[in-house]
Amino acid sequence: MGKATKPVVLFVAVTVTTVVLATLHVFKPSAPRAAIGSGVKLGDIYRGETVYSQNCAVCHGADGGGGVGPALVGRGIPVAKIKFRIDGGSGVMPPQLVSGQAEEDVIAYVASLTAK
Amino acid sequence: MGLLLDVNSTYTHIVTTVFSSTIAMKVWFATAVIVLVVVQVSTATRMWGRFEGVIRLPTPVVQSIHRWSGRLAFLCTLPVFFHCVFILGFQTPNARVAVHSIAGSFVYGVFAAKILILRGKGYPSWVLPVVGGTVAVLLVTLWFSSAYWYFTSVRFGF
Repeated sequence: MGKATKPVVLFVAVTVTTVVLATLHVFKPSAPRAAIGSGVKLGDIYRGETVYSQNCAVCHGADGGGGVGPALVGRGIPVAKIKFRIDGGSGVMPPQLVSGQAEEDVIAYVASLTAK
Repeated sequence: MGLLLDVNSTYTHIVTTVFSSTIAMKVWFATAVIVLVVVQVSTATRMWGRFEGVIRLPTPVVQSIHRWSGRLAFLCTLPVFFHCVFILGFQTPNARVAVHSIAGSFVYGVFAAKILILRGKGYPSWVLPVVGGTVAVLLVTLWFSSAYWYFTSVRFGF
């Protein structure tokens, strides 16, 4: 192999490896099975984490472990119920805390927490 | 499957003991990388005979700063790489994320090639600055498409 081609080969090898790993993304948050057939539209889990940190974490905990509000991790809450709570509120949680695209995104994220 | 969930959960738990969310961790590590990239570009430029009037340090000191800031920058990219590649994966839901995913796919490949060129001999003199500059451009692109967006569109905080 020529001296000039070695960096190119290394570049291609590392880039392809990165793309393969990123395509597999083995530690992806678990897909919320409860969403199947529920009719609830799920948004982007990535944006959902941001929405969650801004609106929900103060009561439900940064990692969903609970606080003033109940814990969400591992509760297996159906997505329809998550949407119902967000839309209607519960206790000190006001109704429509988030709505629209932000609601769809945060439902996806909360569903991943409850599925753990 | 249980192991995968444990890794994700443990990682999130560790990160959120310091930061408000895993995304907040990412943007601050990315910002640290960008600060170090500025150091890298400045010291590299000085080593190539420019900025001598601005950076008035002996060349061996500049070289040492360049090496250690590079090592530190690489370390700072690792947790971001883990989150982006293993948890989020390659995504293209909009232009910003698509640009971020594509640039992120190339950055370690170009970096690895740069290290190989750095340790090799006989390459034309323009190769190393071009490849090093490409790494810097990719990292700046990644920062603008993630941390800058977060600070300006979401919030500026930990």
